[in-house]
Amino acid sequence: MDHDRLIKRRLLWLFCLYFLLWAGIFVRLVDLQVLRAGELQQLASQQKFITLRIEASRGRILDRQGRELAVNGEAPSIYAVPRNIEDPKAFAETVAPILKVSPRAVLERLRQGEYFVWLARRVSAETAGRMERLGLKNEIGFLRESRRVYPKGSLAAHILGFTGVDNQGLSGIELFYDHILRGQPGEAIAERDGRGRILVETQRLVKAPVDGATLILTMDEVIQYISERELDAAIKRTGAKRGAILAMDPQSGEILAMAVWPRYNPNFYERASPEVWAPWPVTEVYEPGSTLKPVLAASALEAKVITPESVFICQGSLPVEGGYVIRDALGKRHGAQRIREILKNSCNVGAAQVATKLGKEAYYTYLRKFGFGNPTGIDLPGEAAGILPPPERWLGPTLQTAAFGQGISTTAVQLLAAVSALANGGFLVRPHIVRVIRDSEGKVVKAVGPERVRQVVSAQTARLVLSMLEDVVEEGTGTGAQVKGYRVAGKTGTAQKPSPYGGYDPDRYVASFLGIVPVEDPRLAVLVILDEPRGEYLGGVVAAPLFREVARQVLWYLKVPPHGAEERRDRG
Amino acid sequence: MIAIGSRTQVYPVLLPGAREETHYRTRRAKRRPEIRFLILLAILLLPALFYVSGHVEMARTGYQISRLREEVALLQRENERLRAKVASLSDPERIAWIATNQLGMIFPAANQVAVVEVPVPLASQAKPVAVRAPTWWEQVQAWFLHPEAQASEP
Repeated sequence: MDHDRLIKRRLLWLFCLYFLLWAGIFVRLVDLQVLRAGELQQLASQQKFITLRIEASRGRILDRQGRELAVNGEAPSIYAVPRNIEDPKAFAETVAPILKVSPRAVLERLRQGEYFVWLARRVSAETAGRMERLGLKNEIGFLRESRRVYPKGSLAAHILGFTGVDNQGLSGIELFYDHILRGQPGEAIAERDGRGRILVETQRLVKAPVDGATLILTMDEVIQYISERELDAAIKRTGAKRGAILAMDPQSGEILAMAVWPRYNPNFYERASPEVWAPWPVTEVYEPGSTLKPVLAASALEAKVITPESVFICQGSLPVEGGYVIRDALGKRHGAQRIREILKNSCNVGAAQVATKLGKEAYYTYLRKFGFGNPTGIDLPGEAAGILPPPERWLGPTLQTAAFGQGISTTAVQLLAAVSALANGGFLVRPHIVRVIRDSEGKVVKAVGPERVRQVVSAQTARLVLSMLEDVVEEGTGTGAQVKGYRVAGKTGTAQKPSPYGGYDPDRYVASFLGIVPVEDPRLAVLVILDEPRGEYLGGVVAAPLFREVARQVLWYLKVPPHGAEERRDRG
Repeated sequence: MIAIGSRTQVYPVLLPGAREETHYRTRRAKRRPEIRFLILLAILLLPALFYVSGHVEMARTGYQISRLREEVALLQRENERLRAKVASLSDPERIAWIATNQLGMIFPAANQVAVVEVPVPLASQAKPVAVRAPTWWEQVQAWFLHPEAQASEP
């Protein structure tokens, strides 16, 4: 009996134990499958599933002939694992000279994280090699990242701009069209196997990546090169502080070249001073000097306050409002002149008389119509509007000085667009740099054609002023700009620079020349600016020959037949 | 203990009209239970095996696709690198440097270039080319002797 009870008791205990075991399992199951189901499922998904970011490729930038100016490459980036670095100070002192930073900067970076901190992004292969040779396998690692490459080096750097460490546009076209070039990264979800490898069959595309669009510029690589080479030579010859050459198709507003000196290489933009990065012919204003006289002449003729036969007397100086005296350069007396001679001789006194006849209101209205005081809308970032105060704020001799481009400020691109209207039947066109935008599949998204802003003067007035400008080059101050075989119209400019102490500095000038060629069918409008040339400083002496050299080579390159000069002689 | 033997014995009797199943029963009876079990196991396992092998193949193809994708990405990067190299080799500054420093070429000065001026042909000056109409004899000749001449340019 006792034996039976013992067996029963043992069986009971065994049953209880068995029950408890199953009860425990059941409770655990309820806990895992019901109570914490959501949380654990999420955790499992996190471990099992991976979200893949599919990077979009940045769009390329090509010149008007399809030559590559900005493409994508790869560069190694170096990261550190601070947790594995036993002696951060010694580590910093070892790597800092290779990365060309201070040991303190390295130490600061190491403090930013425990498992991963960037030491240097997109370094050269040489730097990466030197770091690799240190043998710090646990402390540092390498990742390959996409990097913008400018295969032509400093060519057109001011137009192209550059991108930052995260491939975001920071300057030039890269910044202006960043939203188009950047594209949109895609996203996919996939499962991983036990070894962390992605199981392709489980991959699901959540969002397809869209590669950045390709930009085809209006700029021509060869014209840009000619302009830059000639500008470099002129800077060397004249010792100017800086210079620029802008070439534009006056009929379409397409910028063919924008050479700016000093230059920089966008592949190593950090080595240049930030002041050098900006395309100053677009972002900075200057007093244009006599290159503004064609605008005055066109305004006065269009307003019919003068005729081509109206005569003005130049006695070398002209007393004006406020007791000021307007003088001609080098104290010259030009005597009786028509507007044609005023332009030809670049006579300030004559121009001041024409402006007086035109009046503040009318001159201001025409200047606004020509686009001064407003950004041209060129597709480059940071364009300046210029300084054109309203006529009620034109005090003293402002009207007379504005006649020869002093007292008001413009950007170089504004001036080029304004004077180009005379070569375009009186129509002001918007200068632009991007010609075509193509998507990643090569389809044209946008084609930018000539954009006429408004008609500023009649075609007849424009033609008349252009013929006067031809006289400037034929026998006036701009003879240095003559291109054998072609009819050239142009205007010289020699503007004194404003002094920081008020008034104008007698020793600092901006020499410039604005030319249009060939006159019978204008294909090229070129503005040459040399800022503070040493020695010779007259626009006709230093800037006009530079125009000639650029125009001569570009006309050959564009295969413009040289028949205009003969026609002009026949007509004369 | 002595077991009592069974008093009755059962003998199969083929009743008239009943189906003869003896032959089949004998064959079934011959099958061993192990074979039956194995057949059953195979029937049950085969789909599972097919299922697993299919998945294994899928995973293997997946890894192959992954490798090929990496290869494509690598080739694309190489392509980009080569394009950049081509672009840098065609840099006009580099070409000019090679031309002047290695090949001994020079930039032509303005006085070294002869400008051949091309007069613009005026519409009024352009004389129309007079084309003489063929005589009737020439037409007959062309018809009989040289019909291909009609297709030729004047």
